[in-house]
Amino acid sequence: MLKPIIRLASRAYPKGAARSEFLESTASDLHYATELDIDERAIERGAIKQALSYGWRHPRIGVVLTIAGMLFSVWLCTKWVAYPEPYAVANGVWLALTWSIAVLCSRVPGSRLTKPAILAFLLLVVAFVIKTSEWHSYGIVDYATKHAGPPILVNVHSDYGSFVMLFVALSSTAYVWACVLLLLDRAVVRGILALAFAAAQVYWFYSSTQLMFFWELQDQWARRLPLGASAWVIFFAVSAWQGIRAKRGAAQPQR
Amino acid sequence: MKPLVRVTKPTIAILEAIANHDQPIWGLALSKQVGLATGTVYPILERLTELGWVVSQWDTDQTVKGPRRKFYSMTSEAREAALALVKANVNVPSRSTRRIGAQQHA
Repeated sequence: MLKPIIRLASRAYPKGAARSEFLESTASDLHYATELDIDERAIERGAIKQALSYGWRHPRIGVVLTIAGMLFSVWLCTKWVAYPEPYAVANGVWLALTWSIAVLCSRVPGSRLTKPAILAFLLLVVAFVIKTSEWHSYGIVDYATKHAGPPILVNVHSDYGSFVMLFVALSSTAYVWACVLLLLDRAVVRGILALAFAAAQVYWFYSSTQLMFFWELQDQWARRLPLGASAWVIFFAVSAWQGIRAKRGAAQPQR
Repeated sequence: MKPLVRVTKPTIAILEAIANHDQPIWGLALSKQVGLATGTVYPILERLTELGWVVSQWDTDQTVKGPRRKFYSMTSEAREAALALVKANVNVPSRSTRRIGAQQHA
């Protein structure tokens, strides 16, 4: 009898032959596991991993994951952090882009950037959570509500600010890791672009976490956003192009 | 048969194990032989089947008691390519294997 969790995991497969085959194959492996001296739990874990692996690669799941991740990013930066709004929206967009790149990387055939990209996203989330904690601890939200004026943002030299920058730096390090992987594969252009992300991210967050006023920050968007965004867009385009090329090559019949 | 875009060490191990088997090999036995968890082996087998390197079929042996088992085998064409890939993997550092895999089947 298959455990409910395996039945649940089987839903990653489309209803019909594929799902039935997965369930039958798992039931068969569980039946013969003792014969080969294999732990039944290992088979169950394997079946769940197999289903997740299939589901993760499924295009529909990819779309759902991308949208869910982007909504989460925007929610985290605008609703949970709450203030100051335009700054939070910009951070939300940045975070959403980071997530999109993680999902898209996993769709590019032969891409080894999925893990670094997901790591970069998670570390950035941690940075935002710390940043929010600081805002609340300093009563910035209250200050802004009462005075209706521009609040002081996170001071990079404060304890919290240091942690924020630490995680932003770690997040950027994940892109440096991606860069090394790409250079090892002799994908020089993409490698340099990955390094450009790392630099753009550090630049964006370092400049935005310094002691400055809201109107000053707003003034600098014009300089920061295009720099970061264009690096992301170029990276996406080159990765997609490489992916399409690889796919076309794969579609050709073997000699 | 489509070329492999990404050739990892587990992929090489699985290709080698199937290529060196004259008879179709059972998924669970393959997992045991290569020393990899089923959660690693089956997704690779799915990918190899999708690309046409591996063919899967359900057990037709009526004498075996218990549920049907799924067996995996290779066509002679895939066997040749797999053994070449395994050989190339032995001679070069592992990071280069994915390029070699792509070049061999282009």
